[in-house]
Amino acid sequence: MIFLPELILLGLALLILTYDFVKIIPSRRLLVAVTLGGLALSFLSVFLPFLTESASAGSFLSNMYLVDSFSIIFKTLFLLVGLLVVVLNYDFFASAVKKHEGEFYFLLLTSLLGLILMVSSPNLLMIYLGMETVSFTSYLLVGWQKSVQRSSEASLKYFLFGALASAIFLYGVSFFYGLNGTLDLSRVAAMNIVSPAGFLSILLILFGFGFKIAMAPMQFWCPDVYEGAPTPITAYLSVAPKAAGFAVILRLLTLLNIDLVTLLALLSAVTMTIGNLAALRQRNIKRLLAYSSIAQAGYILIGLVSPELGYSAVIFYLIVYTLANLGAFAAVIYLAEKLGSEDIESYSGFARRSPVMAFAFAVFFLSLIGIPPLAGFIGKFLLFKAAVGAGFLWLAIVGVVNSVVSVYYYMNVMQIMYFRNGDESAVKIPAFISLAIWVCLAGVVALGVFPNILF
Amino acid sequence: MVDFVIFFTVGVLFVIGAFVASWLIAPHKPSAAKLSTYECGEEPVGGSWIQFNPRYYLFALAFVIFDVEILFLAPTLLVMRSFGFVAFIEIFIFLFILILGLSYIWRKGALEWM
Amino acid sequence: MDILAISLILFGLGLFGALTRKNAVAILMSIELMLNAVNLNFVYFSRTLIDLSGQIFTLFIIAAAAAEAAIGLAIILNLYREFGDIDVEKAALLKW
Repeated sequence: MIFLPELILLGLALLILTYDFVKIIPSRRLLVAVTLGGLALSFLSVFLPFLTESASAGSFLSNMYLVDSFSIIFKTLFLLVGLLVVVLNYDFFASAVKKHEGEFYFLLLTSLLGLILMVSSPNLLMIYLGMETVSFTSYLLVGWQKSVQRSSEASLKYFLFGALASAIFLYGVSFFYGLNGTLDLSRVAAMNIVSPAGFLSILLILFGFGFKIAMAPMQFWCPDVYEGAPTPITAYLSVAPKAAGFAVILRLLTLLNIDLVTLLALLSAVTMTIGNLAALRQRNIKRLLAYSSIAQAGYILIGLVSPELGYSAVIFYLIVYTLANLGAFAAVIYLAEKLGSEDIESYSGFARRSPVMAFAFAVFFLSLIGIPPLAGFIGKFLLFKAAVGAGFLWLAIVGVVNSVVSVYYYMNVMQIMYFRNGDESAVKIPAFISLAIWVCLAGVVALGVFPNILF
Repeated sequence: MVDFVIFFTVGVLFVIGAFVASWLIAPHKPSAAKLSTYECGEEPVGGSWIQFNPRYYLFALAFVIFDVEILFLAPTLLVMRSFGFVAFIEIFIFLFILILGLSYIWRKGALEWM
Repeated sequence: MDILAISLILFGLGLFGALTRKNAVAILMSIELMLNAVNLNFVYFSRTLIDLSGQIFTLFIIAAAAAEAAIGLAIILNLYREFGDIDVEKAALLKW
């Protein structure tokens, strides 16, 4: 019962893999329906403990695995992302890839399982295994369009940087183990990070997670990989591994009780500044969203400086960011298919062709900027408030200045869509993509108006 | 400790010494024939990657699956007595997933010598 | 302590190779070298701490490294088919 969501996910992944080579009834719809159904089942089973009111929270398998409210929040988030990505993928795959769809879902489901394992364990061995499960599957997913040169190149770059980052992370873990005599974060009594070895080990471990969340100075892979990957996978990579990376950093900071606020504040300021400045001169929408996601990671890092207020703000903002970014990518997938281009210039006058789509795009961008009454505003407000509360006024100011800078490039896309002339023929939005967009839209607006439903 | 330092120093110095000595003593007059790759007296044709046959590569991948399997089987064997039947079942689940992978590559035709 | 020094040297060599080599396979080999340095560290600590979890970690790293090599070679092979080369600087459609 306790491991039901994970077991359903694993069983589903193996089922899809088996189906892909047995193919008793070869049908694309059946494949997608089974995937969606299984994911939904796994999603619902996360909430099962709440219904039966059995005491299911606690630690299992000699403290290798935790089921607590923290991991349940992230499980829910990842499974929701999984559902939305499969939905988005339906139309994309039909037009752009066509081959080996079963394997594709198998890898996606395995990756989701890895994410869940990663956030549910206080043990560095389990965290490492979860992280590698996510990494290996995402290297392959990025290079899925084998005959597209950009995709292969992005996959190679992601693989080489990812492997390097994980090796460096492991070196840090080995020193952590040597110093503390255990890999279990919750069994470390008091970590001495003043000693050079202790500080180095924590720094190297942070480096590994920093790669996953695209934190400076490990952000350079991000734009290339996002541009080259199939767009549903870009959407997936920009939210899920990032959220998992933040979740593990949160767990590390709370369990070890170490003081890294100055370092994190500096990294946060550098990350958002780099992301926003580089985004200003992008012509490709996927690259623009890549730099924007680096900047967003910078904002989220602000929350890490304040244990009292910041940690809940980080979780809230991660959920809001996930919805807004997935929504924006859903629109990008649709536009790329309709216009055959990912250039921002090609969006000229699209608002007249599909007012609904342009409006949704605008809402997601406004939420990413942080305009009230959308959820992004509440999220940023909580983050900045936490920074001020912890005595980091300068960081809050840097954050606000950065948000103002980001208005320029987000608004530039809006302006091209609304105030330029282009093709005027009306277009129809495929049902699956519009479903994903409506879900994200509802989430962004609802969390903006009633942020209390999460707390 | 002292043995190790002596061994290490001599080892490093020997390698460096050999390179420095050959660089100092050897005459340095490159010509086209000298710079070409030596391949048993044959003229090397094309890049060295051309001879790479992807068929071998697929077999190597299948080999890796079962090569690494031993890594987990051996420790399980050591604790088999104290854990009893649970360990037995668990290792079979592990093997089942591996065999699923093998049947997958078989079914996809990767084991055929085309 | 000398084992830590060896592992540091091994790690440094691997890092140097990974950052300076142009050939994708050579970079992959350098990264494997770094992983071996980590393994050495874990086994050493496991012995001095008289705690088995370090050795278990090493087993998992070896397995993960094998999977990583398989995936990496698949990606590199695909790159070779697309670009006719495995020089990472030749694959530069995406500007850094």
